[in-house]
Amino acid sequence: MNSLLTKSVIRAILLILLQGLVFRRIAFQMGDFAFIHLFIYPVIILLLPIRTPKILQITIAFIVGLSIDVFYNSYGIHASALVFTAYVRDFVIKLLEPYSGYDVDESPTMSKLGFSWFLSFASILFFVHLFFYFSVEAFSFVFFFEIMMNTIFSFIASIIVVMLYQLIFRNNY
Amino acid sequence: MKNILLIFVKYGTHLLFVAFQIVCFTLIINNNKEHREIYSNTKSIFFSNFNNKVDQLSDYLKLDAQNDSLVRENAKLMDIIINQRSTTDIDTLSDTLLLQQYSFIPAEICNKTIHLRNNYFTLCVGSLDGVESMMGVISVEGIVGIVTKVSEHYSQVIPLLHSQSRISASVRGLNFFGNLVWTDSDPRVMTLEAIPKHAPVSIGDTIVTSGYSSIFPKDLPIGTITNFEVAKGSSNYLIDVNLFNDLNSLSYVYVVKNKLKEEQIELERSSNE
Repeated sequence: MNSLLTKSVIRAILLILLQGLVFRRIAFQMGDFAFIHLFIYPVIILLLPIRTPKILQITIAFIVGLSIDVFYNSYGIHASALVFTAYVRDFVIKLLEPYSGYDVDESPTMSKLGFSWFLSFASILFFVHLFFYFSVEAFSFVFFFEIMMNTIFSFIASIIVVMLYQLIFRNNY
Repeated sequence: MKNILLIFVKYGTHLLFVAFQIVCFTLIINNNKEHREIYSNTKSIFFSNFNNKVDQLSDYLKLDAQNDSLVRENAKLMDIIINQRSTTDIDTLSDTLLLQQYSFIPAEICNKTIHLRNNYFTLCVGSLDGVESMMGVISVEGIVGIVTKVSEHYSQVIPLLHSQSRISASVRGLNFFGNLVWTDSDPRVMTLEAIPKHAPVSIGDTIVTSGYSSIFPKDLPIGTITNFEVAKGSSNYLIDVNLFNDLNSLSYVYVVKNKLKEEQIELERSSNE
């Protein structure tokens, strides 16, 4: 249990730094086509132990989101989206519950629950997160086309990175 | 008291979620410029709707008294008009600078959009009031746009805030002229193109209409220069112009009727052939 806590904290710090210092600078740009942004920090919330109380999840999401906002200079946009993601996480976990149930002390990683389970879990939450994030960023559904383009392309790119991350650090983080 | 505590225990997560979202949105609105603008616009649209409804209701209750006073005022005005009709032409603004070439038709704006890429205004005057397409529209403070379509009682205006709008404009005091276009999404900022870079422009200069178009009179003020730079690989300036007009809050405008326009167009066409 204690090692799980250390793991979560280390994971959170590393991912925040990775997002803020590395992925923030990666922008795929081909002329006018600038819709791809890499987001990996929602993984911190995704991989919290299943048993974590919801209040704690939302609070962690708020703190993590604000620290990402510090890097992005965007005051509250990431925090708002991540709090929303944390809020719907429990519903998604309940929705995807396998026949045998969960081991509630563990994190819902790919190595515990399998490739396809993790893919659908991460897909739902990433899509929700990105859509919410880009909506708040644009702040008006007048820009619906830009919101959808940003969401779809960033979603594809981010999911690939997240699945690679889970495949590489299979047993550790 | 106990019940309130119970509510917190039961719905704590949801309340916390809402609380965090409120904190986030407060942060967003207070610290990000674009978000603040969208928020204040939305708020003003919503509240003006609400205020309108309340106004309508209170107006309705006061109708009787107002009707009385209007009838009396009407009678007084009729007197004045009938006595003066022979001596002045009410429709024509007599201005010696404009040489009686232009007359102005007062109009109210019925409908408008501001926040889109291509905005349109609708005026409550039409061909019955003498409006024709390709007439200029101005307000007291500056220019507004150009009439494109006219029906009997309404006319449609392409305002400055349209991706296709191009107004011939020059810097006051200089003879250089260029095109005023709207590239930004800010309804108060436009860009003046095609002023050659040897022109001695400076920040704070006034931009006026050039008068080279037969639509607007010469020397109507448009805005001031806030910034200018030479575009890459070009020998022309790109000049940011801050409009005098706040098109967002405008409700009464004047349609410009150029009495000599047909003569000018006729002459220009005949020399082209």
